Amino acid sequence: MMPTPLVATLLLAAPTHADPVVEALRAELDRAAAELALDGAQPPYFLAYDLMETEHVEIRAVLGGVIEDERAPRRELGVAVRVGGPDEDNANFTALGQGDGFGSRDLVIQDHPLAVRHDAWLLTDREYKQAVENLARKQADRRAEVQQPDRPPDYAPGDPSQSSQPALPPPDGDTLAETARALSAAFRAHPQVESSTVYALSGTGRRVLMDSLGTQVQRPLGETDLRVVASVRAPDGQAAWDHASWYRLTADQLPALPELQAEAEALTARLERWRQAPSAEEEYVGPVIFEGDAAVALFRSLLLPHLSGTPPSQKAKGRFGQETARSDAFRLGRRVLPKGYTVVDDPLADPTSPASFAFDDEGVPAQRVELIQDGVSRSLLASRTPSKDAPTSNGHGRCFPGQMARGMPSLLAVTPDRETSWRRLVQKGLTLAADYDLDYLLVVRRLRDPSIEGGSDGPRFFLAQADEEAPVPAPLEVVRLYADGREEPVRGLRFEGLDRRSLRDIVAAGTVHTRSFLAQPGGKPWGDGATHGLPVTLTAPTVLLSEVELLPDEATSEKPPRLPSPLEER
Amino acid sequence: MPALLASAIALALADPALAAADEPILEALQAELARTMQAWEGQEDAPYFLGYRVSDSFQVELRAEQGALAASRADRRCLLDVSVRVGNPELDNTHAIRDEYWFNQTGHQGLRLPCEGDVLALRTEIWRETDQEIRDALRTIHKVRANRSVKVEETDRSPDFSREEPQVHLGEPAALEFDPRAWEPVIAGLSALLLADPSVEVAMVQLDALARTQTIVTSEGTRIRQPRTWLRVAMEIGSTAPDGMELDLYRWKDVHTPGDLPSQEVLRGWTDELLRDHAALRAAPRGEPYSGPLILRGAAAGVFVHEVLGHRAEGHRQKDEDEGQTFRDQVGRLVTHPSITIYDDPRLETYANEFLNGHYLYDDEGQPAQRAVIIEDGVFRGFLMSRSPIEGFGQSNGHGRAQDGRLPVSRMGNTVVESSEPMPWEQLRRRLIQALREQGRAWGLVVDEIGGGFTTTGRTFPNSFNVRVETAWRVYADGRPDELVRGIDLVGTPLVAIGSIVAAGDDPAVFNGFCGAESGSVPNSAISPSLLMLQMEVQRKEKDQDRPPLLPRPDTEGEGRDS
Repeated sequence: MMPTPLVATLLLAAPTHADPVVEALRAELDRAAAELALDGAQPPYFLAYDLMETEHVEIRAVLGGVIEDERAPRRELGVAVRVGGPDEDNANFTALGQGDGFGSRDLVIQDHPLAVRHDAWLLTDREYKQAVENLARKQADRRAEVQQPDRPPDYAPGDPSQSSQPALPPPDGDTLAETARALSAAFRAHPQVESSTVYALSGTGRRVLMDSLGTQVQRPLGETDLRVVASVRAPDGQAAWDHASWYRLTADQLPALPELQAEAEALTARLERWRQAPSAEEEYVGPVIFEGDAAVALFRSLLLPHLSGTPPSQKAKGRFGQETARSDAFRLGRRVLPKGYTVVDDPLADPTSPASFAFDDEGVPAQRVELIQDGVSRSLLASRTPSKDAPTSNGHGRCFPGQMARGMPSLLAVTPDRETSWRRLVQKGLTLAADYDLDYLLVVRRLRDPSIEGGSDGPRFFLAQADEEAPVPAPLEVVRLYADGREEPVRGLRFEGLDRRSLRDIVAAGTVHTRSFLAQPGGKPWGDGATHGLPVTLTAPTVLLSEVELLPDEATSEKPPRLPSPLEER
Repeated sequence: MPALLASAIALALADPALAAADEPILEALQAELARTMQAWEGQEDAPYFLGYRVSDSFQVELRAEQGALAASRADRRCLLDVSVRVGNPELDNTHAIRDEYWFNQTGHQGLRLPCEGDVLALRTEIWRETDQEIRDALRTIHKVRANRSVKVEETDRSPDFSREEPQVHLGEPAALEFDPRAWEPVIAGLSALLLADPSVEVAMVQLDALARTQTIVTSEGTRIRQPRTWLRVAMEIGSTAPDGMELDLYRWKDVHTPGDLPSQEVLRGWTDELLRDHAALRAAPRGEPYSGPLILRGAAAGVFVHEVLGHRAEGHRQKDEDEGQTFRDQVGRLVTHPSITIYDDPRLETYANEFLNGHYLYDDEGQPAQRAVIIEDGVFRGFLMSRSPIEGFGQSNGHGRAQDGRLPVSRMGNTVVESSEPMPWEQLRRRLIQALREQGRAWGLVVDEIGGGFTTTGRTFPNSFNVRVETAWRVYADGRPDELVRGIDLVGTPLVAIGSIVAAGDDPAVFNGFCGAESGSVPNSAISPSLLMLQMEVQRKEKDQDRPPLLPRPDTEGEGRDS
C-alpha cells in the first residue's frame, strides 16, 4: 500500500538538528500513550498530535489605505484520541454540545519545551476523557439498533510514516501590505464602483503529525490568498459583487504588481459590463456553455461534494430520534459523466500548488486516485476512517488540527477524451439552440462566489454551504451569443434544477482551465477565504450542456445612494 | 517574529507623525457631514441630526502562559460610528419599538476606515456608511410611527433626544511610548513563577496597552478630540480542585502611563500572594447557602454597588417598558442607610491614589462628563443620563457611552460610594459580630475577593443579581479563628440588598474593569469602602464535573525538569 522508495528518500532528507517543540510533543505523546488511563475505562489505543505552526499576515486595504494589518505567529495543536478498538471507537459520532476525543488549542509561541508539553498535557487529558464518554454514547446507541452485519470498522490503521521536509520561510508582510495598498488605490479612478476591498492573507510554516503507532511527518505549509473584491449597483438598484483572486502557496508566487493591477482593471470592466447589461425578463431553456472560470465553478459545485469515501458523522439519538446521516458520495459503478471523461485526484501533480502534499493529514503517503473512468464512478477519496466503498486510505485524509480527517480532493482534474475547439463548441451549441427555436445560446463566464457576501462594511468571507435547492450559485457574467459572433450581456438570472445529474448532459468540452480555492473538509464545496477551508486545485474544461434552465431573479433591490461618491468630485 | 513585530509597534506608538495623523479624519468627517446635511435640506424625513464618532486605536497584547510567551500582537484600528436621527427630537428612529425585541436591530457595527489614507479615501468610506445608516433610519422611523399608533400610551412620554449646547474641545491625540519587546521576557518569567505549586494548571500573565484618539463631529457643531491611554498588567492562577471545581484567582492593575505600571519586584510579590491564596483556596472547604449579616470588603463592595444599583440607575432603562425600572418611583425616598452617598463622576482621574478606568472628559455623544448624584444621604436622587431624556430628567449629564461599533446609551463611568460615618475595619468587624449575636447566628461571612458579576434588569426574568465570589471568610461569633471558604456566589434582589447596608468602613478601594451591556463593553471603575449588610444571601457556585488531570504536570516529572 505504501510507496516505500518515496518514504526512504524523504527519510534521508530529514534534518538532524534538535527541534525542541517537536521533541517536547513527542515526549508528551509517548507519556500519554503509556500512562493515560481512567479508572474503569480503557486507555487510548491510538493517539495523534497535529501541530500547525505558521507566521501569519492578514491585511485589508481600501482606496489606497490599510484598514487592517495583523501579523502574528500562530501555533495550534490538534489531538486525536481513539478509545476502544479499530472495530468500534469514539470517532465519527457526535452528540450535541459534547466533545468526541478530537480537539485543539493554541500553544505558546516560544520554543519552550515544558510550556509546550504543559499545553499538550491539558489538551490530551481533556480529549481522552471526552473520548471515553463519546464511546459510551456511541455504544449505547448502537446496542439499541438492529446490528448491521457488513458495518465497516471505525478505523483502518496502516503502516507508520516518517518524513521531514523543511518549513516554508515567513511571509514578507511589508511587501504584501504595499501590494494591497497599490491594488486598492486603483479603485480611486472608478467612482462607479460602490465598494472595494483588497484582502491579503499569507501564512507559512510547517505542519507536523505524530502518532502513537510511530508516524512522524513534517510538511511545509503555506497559503497565500489575495483577493480584490468590488461591488457595483445597476441603475435599477440591483447590486453585484465580484472578485479577482490569486490563491498560491507563498506570497512570492503571486504575479508582479502590473499583472495584478491589470486583473483588477479587468474586474472593474467586468462589473461595468454587468452594470450596463439589461436585466433579464424572460426565462431561458436551452444549451449553455460554461466557459473557463464558470466551468471550474460548475464542477466545484456538482462534483466536489460527492467524492469523499469517509462516512458522515453519525449523530447521537435524542428523545425524539435523530435522522441518520447519509453519505452524499457517488455510488461506485454509476455513470456520473458522459463516456470519455476521466476524473483524477493527484496530490503530487503540481508541488507548487497550495493543495499539494506528499503525506495526508493522517500521515498516509498521498496517492493518485482515478475517481471516474470513462464517465463511471470507480473509487472515492479515502481516509483511515473506512466505508464499504473506501475500505483503506488512499492518502486523502484531510482536516484541520483537532478534527477527524475525511477523504477530500487536493489537485483534482476533469479530463475529456476529446477537446473541441471554441468555434465548433459554439456551432454545436447553436445547432442545439435551434431545437428550442433560439437564434442564440447563453455563454456563462462567471458564477457568483457565495463565499463572498457584500455588506455595508465591505465584503465578508464565510462558509457558504451547499444549498440543496440551488447547488450551483447564480451566474454573474452571462452573454447571449449569436451565430454572427455578436454578444449581448444579460444580468439577473439564476439556475433552476441544475444538479449533479446535469453533468450527464455535457455534450462537448473545450480547453481546460485551472483555479485554486478553499473547500471545507467533508465535501462541502465552498470555503472561507480566511481560515476555514483547505486548499483545492481544480482543473476542468469549458463545457457545453445540452439543456439548462435559467429564470429571472426576482430579488428586490435597494435604491442607489442619494449622494454621488466623493470620488466623482475629482 | 514576535520580537520584530513588537519592536515595530513600539516605534509606531512613539512616532509623533503617526500620532498626529488624525487631522485628515476631522477634515473628512466635516466635509461629508456638511455635504450630507446640505443634500438633504428641505427633503421629507431629512436627518435632523447627524453625528460621527471615530476611534483611532493602537493596541498591544502580550500574554505569557506556563512560563513562555503565548501571544504578542499589535494593531491599529480605526472605526467609524455614524449616528443618524430622522423625525424630530420628540419622536425619532431611535425610539423603542415595543414587542419587536431583537428584530428591531439595525445591524449597526461601525466601519473600519483607512485612517492612514488621504481625505478622499476617508470621505468615500464615510459616504458609504452614512448612506447605509440613513437608509436604516428611514426604514425604522416608519416602524416607530406605526408602533406608536397601534400600542397603548407609553408610561414615559419624554422626547427621544435632548437639546444640548454644542461642545468644542480639541485635545492632543493619544500618544504612548511603550516598548512591548522589553516586557516579553518579564511576563514570561513571572508566569514561570506561578508554576511553583505543582497543582497549578493555568499560569498566565498578560499586558495590554491602548492609545486611542476619539474624534466626534456632529451636525449641531460639536467637535471633540480626546485621547485615552490605558495599560493593564494582569495575572491568573488556576487549577481544578479534587471535587472538580475550577479555582481561578486574578490580580491586575490598570494605569494611564507605562511609568505607572508596577515594578517587577511588586509583580513578583503578586505571584507569591497568588500562590499562597491559591494553595489556601484549594485546601478550603466549599461554602454553603447562607442568609444573614455579611461584610463586603473593599473592591468587592464596589462591584456589588455596580451590579445592584448602578445598572438600575442608567437613565434610558426608566422608559423602556420591558425594563424593571426598580428606582423609577424611588426618587426622593430613603433607599439605604442615611450615611451613604453614591455618585458617578467620570471626571475623576484617580481616587485614593488609584488610576480610574472610567475616566473621560466627554462622553461618546460629545457631552461633557458631570458628577451625577444617584443617592445622597441614603435618599435616591437621580439617574445617569445620556441624551435620551426621561420624565423629570431632561438633560444629559455626560453618561452616554458605547464601545466602538455600537450606539451610546447611559452607562456608568466612575461609580463612587462614600459614607459620612466611616469606621475603622476593626469596628466594622465588631459590628458584624454584634449583628450575628443579635440574630442568634454562630457565624457570618466576609467576602473579600470577587471576580465580577452580572444582573438582569428586565421584567421577563427575575430582577436579580449575582456577584461571583472568589474568596470569603467565615467569621465566628464566639471568637474562633476565621475560616476561608470557596464556591459561593452572592445573590439577591436590588431593593432589599441596597436597603440592607447599615455601615461602611474607612477603606475605599477601587475596582477597575470593563462592563458589558447593550452598548457594548466600556471601561469603568467602582469605588467603595467595605460595607456591612444586615441580610444578604449566598448560593453555591456552579462547578464543572471533570476530574483534575489524570497525569502529573509534565515539569513535575523528573525527566523534564532541566529542559
